[in-house]
Amino acid sequence: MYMKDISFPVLLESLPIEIILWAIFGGILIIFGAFSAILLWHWKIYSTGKFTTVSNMVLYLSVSAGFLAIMIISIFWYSL
Amino acid sequence: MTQAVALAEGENTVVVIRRHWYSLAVEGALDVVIFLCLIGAILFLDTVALVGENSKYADTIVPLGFFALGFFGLLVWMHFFASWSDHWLDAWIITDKRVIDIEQKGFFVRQVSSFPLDRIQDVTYTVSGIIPTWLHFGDVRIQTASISEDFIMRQIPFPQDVKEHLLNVIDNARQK
Repeated sequence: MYMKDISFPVLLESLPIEIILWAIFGGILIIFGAFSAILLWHWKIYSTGKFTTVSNMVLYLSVSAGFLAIMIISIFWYSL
Repeated sequence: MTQAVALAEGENTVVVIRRHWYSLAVEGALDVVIFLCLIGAILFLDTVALVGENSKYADTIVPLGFFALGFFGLLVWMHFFASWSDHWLDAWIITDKRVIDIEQKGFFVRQVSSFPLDRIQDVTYTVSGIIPTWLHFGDVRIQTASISEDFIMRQIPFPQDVKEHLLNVIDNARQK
């Protein structure tokens, strides 16, 4: 027996990268959803200002949505 | 307006004080550094993938780089926002009857304590160091008759103004 010298790109081509990426995306989406639910609940019951609460949540969700969008676009880009 | 703490009947909020933004900046600096390093690493990898013989792998490497950017960027952003929440939800509320200390530790530990204004014996403030002097923040120490240790508001903006404000509120409360 001997080990074949496999380059990184060849290794990438042999792995089901697309499925792995979707699995990672699904995992982070679940973590993000649970984290955000707790965070939003905290701000709702503990914050002292409605404007601050709403503006912070809009900012938080907008930036987060941007990162999630980058991940989805990257997966589709990889699939092309 | 949502009230974080239930006030007694006839009790009015005079001022809500939060820690100076510097404390958040120190906590958030690590997140910013990590995110900038991440962007630098991905740009470097993508650049390497686009030149010379490696260019044939660009369609594989570049999307993976952007995926990593989205993934780690989201984690860093979530961590930063947790720090921001901790910063914002910690507060000292001075009412016309008492001082309320709210301390949020993580998501599930919240400590709220208070003491009446008539128990306050002395109020002092300290601004120590170059950065606190430059950015106008420091500690206000409140000595009370009821608690064994002094009550300290740490890293609050304009501690001298807070001290004066507090003394005025105490005077007004005693005149009533």
